[in-house]
Amino acid sequence: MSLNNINSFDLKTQQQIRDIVASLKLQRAGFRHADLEFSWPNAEHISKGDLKSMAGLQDLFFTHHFTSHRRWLGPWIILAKKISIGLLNRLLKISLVRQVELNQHLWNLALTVQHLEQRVLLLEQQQREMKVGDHQ
Amino acid sequence: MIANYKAVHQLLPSFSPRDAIGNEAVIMQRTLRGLGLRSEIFAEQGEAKGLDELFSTDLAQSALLYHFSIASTIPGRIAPLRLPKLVRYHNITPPWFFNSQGELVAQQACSLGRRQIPMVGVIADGILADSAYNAAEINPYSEKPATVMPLLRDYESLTQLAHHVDALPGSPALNRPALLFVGRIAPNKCQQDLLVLLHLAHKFISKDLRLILVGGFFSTDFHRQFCDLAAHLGLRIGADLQTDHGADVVIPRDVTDADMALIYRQARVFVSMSEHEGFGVPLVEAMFFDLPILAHRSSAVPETLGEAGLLVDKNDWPTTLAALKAIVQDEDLRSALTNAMRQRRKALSLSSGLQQFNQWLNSF
Repeated sequence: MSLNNINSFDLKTQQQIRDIVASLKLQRAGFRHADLEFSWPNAEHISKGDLKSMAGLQDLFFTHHFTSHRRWLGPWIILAKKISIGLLNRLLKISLVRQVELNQHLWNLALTVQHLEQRVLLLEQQQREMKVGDHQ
Repeated sequence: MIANYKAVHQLLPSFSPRDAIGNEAVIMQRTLRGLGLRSEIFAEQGEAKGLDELFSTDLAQSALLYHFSIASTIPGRIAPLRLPKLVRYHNITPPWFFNSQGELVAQQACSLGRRQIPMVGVIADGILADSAYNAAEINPYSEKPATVMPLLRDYESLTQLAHHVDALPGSPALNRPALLFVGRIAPNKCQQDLLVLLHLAHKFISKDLRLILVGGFFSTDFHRQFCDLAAHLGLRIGADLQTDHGADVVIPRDVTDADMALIYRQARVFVSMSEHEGFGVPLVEAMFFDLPILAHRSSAVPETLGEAGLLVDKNDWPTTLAALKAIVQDEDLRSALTNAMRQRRKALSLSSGLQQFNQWLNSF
């Protein structure tokens, strides 16, 4: 049904409403919205218990994720991971073409690889940001 | 033709006859058995036969109907089977709504689930989507476009329950006009915006309004954030609808179907600020109770509502509040909305849904 027949508030009240909502910006900031960009959870907030609850390769990834913040070792770990993921991805590519006949474990593994690739890109971005931060 | 088959079995990641998807599976099972077919429900978890039992069942001349709503091992396990695979796509919440510590597992389940959409689309011989919004998500991966059919639910029985409860002596009444939202209290449903709306409504419409939220909290993090915001806005949260008259926000516990019917019946307006709905069962329930609806225009909400409610844009708070004021106070508008809802619910009724389901089955 159209909103045309609804009586709007006067301009002053409308501004008051906007001001009230704007004053709540800080309190509403923590809530997720569809228009926010995706960001990985803050690493410091992830407990060991959470890590254990995640299976297989993803655990491995997270473990590396934390250590990769080490300034000198980080880029090399990322390089090694990129190479290993690239190799793994090539190995899986033939199977991925025939997705229909994959069993679930293989499928999940393929997904995990894709997932890891995205995370590697994020890590690289974090590394770059860290370096920019150091220079500043 | 479905007549060529002897059985259509349904597969779900988890099954409970009380949730909307489980309830639909039961209705479908009843319908399939009514057509003379064998029909069982298999699930990875819940109150149904275990998924492993499917593989020890005689599957000759059988078809499978998979309810796809979250990541599971089902697509991978049924993909190699040489059987027709039908998919009921209920949509999967985008993972970016979940980002706190306690929501990590849900984030992973939704993330993996959404990555399974292409695979499910590829293996499906026929897809039934709750809404055109859902169909648009899976159509790029499937050979044949999905058929749109609203979620099957016996809304009429809920309204009949309300009549029954009303007739009981001493039926409790809500003593303050209430805004109602029904659904899991989770980031994608944006109940925090309902708190803001109530806060504004207290200032610009009436101090008497209260908010009723029916649903459990999705995570402790969201619970904490929600309570912090309520406290900041000076809104008191209570749990008892009948006795806690001072609470501005009521989140009743252990709500039965009868309670639910009574709440729908006595609320003043159904408000939804949800940012992601694959269909929106509570919107339709509200329609069946003649409860006027004000909703945020997002995902499948506009097509579920049709003309039977007021749609507002997110963050247009002055218009949202003006629309709320009109729905609460303008009897002419309420009456016009009621008429629109009565028209709309014909298309969403169980009998209409079953007719579509039968047509869809016969198209194979």
